[in-house]
Amino acid sequence: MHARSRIAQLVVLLVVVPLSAAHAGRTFVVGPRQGLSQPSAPLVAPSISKIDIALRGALADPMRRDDRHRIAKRGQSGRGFVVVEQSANGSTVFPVFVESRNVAQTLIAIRALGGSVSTTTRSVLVARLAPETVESIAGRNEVVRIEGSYRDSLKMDLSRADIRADQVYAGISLPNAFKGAGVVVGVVDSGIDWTHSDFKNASGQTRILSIWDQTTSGKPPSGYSVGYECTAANINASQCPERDTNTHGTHVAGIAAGNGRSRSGAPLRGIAPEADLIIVKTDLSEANIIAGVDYIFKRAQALGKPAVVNLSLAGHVGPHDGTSSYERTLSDLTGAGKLVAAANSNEGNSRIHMGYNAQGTSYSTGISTLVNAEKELTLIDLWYNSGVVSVGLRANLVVNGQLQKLDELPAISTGQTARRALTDGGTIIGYASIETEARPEGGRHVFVAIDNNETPSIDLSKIVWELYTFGSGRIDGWTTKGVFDALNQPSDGFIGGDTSMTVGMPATANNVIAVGAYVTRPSWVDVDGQTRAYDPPVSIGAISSFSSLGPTRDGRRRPSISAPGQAIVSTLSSTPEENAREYFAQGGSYRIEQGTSQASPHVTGLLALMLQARSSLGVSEALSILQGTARKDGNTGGSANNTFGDGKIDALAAVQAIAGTGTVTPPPGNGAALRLLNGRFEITLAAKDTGRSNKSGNGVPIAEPGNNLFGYFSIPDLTGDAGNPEVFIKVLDVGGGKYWVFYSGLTDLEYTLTVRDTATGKSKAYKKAIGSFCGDADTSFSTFPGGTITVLSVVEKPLLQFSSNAMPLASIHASLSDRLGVAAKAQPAGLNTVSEARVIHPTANCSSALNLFASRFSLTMAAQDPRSGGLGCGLALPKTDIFGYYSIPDLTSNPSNPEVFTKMLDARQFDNGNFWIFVGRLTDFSVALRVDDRQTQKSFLTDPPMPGGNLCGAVYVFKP
Amino acid sequence: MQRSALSLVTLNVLMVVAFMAGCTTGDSAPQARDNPPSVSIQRNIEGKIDAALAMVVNDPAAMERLRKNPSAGRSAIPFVIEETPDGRLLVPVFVESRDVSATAAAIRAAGGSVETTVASRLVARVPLNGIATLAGRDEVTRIESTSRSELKRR
Repeated sequence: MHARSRIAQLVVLLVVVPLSAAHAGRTFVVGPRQGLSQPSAPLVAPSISKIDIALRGALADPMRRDDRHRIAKRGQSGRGFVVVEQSANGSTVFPVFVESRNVAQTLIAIRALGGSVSTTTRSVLVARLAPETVESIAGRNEVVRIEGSYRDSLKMDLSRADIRADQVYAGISLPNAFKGAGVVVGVVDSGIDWTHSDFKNASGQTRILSIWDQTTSGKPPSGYSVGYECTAANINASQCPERDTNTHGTHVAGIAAGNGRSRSGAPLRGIAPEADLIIVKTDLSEANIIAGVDYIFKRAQALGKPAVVNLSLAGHVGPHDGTSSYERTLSDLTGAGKLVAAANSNEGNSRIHMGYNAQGTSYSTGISTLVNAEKELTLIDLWYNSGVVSVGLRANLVVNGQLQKLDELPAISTGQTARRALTDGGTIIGYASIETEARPEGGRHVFVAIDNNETPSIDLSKIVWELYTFGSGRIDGWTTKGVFDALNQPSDGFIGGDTSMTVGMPATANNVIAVGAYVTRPSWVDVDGQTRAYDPPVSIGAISSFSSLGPTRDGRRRPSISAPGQAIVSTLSSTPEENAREYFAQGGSYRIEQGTSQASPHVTGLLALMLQARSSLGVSEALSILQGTARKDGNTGGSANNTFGDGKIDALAAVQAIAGTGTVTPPPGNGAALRLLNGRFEITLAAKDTGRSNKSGNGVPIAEPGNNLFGYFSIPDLTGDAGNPEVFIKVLDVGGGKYWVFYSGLTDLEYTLTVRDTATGKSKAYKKAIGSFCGDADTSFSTFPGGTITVLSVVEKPLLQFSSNAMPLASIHASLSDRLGVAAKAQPAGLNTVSEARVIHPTANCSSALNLFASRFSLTMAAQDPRSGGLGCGLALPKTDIFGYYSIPDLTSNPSNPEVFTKMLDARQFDNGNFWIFVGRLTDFSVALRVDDRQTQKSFLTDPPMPGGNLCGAVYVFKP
Repeated sequence: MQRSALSLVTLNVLMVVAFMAGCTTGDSAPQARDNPPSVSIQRNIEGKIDAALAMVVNDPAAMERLRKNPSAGRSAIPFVIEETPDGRLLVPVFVESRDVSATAAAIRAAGGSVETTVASRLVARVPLNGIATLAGRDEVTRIESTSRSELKRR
């Protein structure tokens, strides 16, 4: 037997167990279903306690199970609960994850009970179980846990992947992993649901160091005069009265630092999942916000930890130039190891700003702007730095298309105050005030307030308010609770409002990192299984229409940077004051939100990772790194601007800029090099079976005759087979001194590829963590390998947004299977199997086949570009009897460019008659394979297909 | 500048007349349209108080209204103001001072509190009726009120 990669090593484990047990007709008695049919009975049996709660619920409730079964048959979501499937004979089965201390024994037991196992890892089996067998499996001594399968239609990992935070988490191309350990993430917001599992550690203790609730009283923190402070001890004792009924703060905290513990595998973890948390529940007054930031920094400093504070809030009363006391105080609080990120605000499509050069000497020669007031109160804040501007206010009606003045607060200039009730025919229509001041720092400020004095019958919104100015000097103004342009359009003779300078305060403060929002998810599935989408639709990668625009009033660019803000799934408070089920997801522990509120904590989390790498990081340096490593693409434009700032954050590049790309462990022995591009690049591979056997080994290069840009490695030190291909690499010369590197593999071993440029003598390393089949693509450096390294994600064509989720898996499946001339007979979605398929087109479009196992199996491949939707066939390039690869000339126009690799292994003697198919790729196209068994005359289809948008491989299992 | 006709007419005059007919009056007596009241014009206190704060502090009528009934009309005040359980009105403010210790002592003596001091600025709560006195102190160079931010979910 050849030991082939990590999966092959598992095989060794399987064959040493006594197979006789599986074949001796051993009968597993299905025990009584303790409590399952009697919901009122306590679920105390140890076996039951091993089953996750949602799965227990599904097992105990046949009606709901049947309902979900119907939903599953329609191909819809399982209502946010566990997935239920229908087997070929019509019975109900649950796809589950079984954690076991002895995978082989559990595998045998599952099969003995009529279940199936599609995938195994060192400690987990992915299985399908009949409902009545779940408890029996749970009762086995070696079984630790059984969890249901959920449809992961909503993932924080979309935005994490977009900013390459997952690579930082895994320590790829870094000296080590960075998860925010030793850093305090502070959140000043609406509070937090401290009972949420994502804010607890593995032992169930809170990760929150303290909570200061400023909205209540009774126990202020030491040194402060208001509020109620809960310590970690209070929280762990469930003695903290704070609740986040708004849910905003809980969501924001989850993005920055949630650890995702609520779900197996933590798919919804935040950016800095190992950071400590300090929470301030604020009443949103600027003074209390400042006190909150002060509190967080002081508490962190007392612990000797760096801190970053998130402010997903903003306002528009103030100069917007960094000179207000609010802005300056906040800036003064920052420093080395003390950073603040803030939402750029959400008025990018609201005309709350007006700006122009004043003119004239009276009303008739001046400039007017119309204002849409809200019913009860509208504030207008006007600022100018030089000249003299007089400001007045008129109340009008529109009569026969003309403005008819009702009343007026005549214009005043700096140093004057005017106020009075405005009337129409003796009836008060509003109370207006204009206050002016000359600020000590030289600026001029005019504050206009219109209110109804809490008189319900006075409706300010029914009046056309006309703000007029005359004089000289550049004037900028913002409305709060209103917009410029009455009647929703600028009219002749009036200066309209605009959306520039809509960045809010405190994002305008000098030492605050202001964050704009862009789209990473256009739709989602809610907790009731309904697919929701934005109307009008939004495009992945585009700026969110609401994301406020810069610059600041003094001309500084805003936002500083942009991050994912639409739509983001994160932690949901368990005490929501509104039941917005369309935004609830994942069984109710998470919810969808959008806003620069959601973008800012992505940066906050990233800053925590950066602070872990360098605790003394200051504002200027942090900002310089964020901006210097930011990604630019077709949406951001090629240069910094007041929409995206310097671009989209790149977590990996930013942390690399501080921590470096890591020290590559020298390969043991004399690792031979693969030479590509006429020997310009020498590539070596070092691999390790980390955490398992911990053995290390060299890669043995296998050059491809006639192919100067591609080669692969076997790892005989670990697999015992020098001819067994494991890791593939391709280096493309794209001209202009630029090179792109793609790598991927058919192994889950940890490995590091070191690419040495013989022309410069410099090297660059790419590290893949153990347990993953995902490769990556480095397409962004301008020169190889010097300069700032900015490694883009798995995008073969830089500047294009990859969009795997824009194309539903079902659609990919249908398109590709049609191309392959087959349709799966059964589609047990979610697990890597090879389903028996029926031939629907006798002559398939994709006919170029790899013929493996002495031509017993014919493998054809179809691919789909996730961006264009274009379909193509694999052109088979056979190598050995078990291995070959495909180019995709239909989509790449290059018949010799290897893109998809496949390897078949005969696992029948130790895996219940199954064959295994490994598929890897150096492309982010979606991929499906058809397998025809010429011996049994059966056809099979990989199910599900490999979705586009990454360079991840997969292992499929099938029984011919 | 020419102010021409609006191209979009959305207001119905009759509707507005009906709305007006239902209006009630506040402290100001109804005024004849063709006989507008005189405008109150006065100067800010030495330019030390920001315009929003001055709009109330410098308005004797507003201060008197708040003194008589602290709970009434507060939603129309263009800055954050807090009412204590004993009915006092406190204003969270930023106070710029050349002598923060002396200013802090003065604020506390007036029944206020200081939350934190950052450089030459105090973050404090000051009784509304003590703002003018505080602004009159030599070492105090600026008092700015605070507005309420909004959470930026969309």
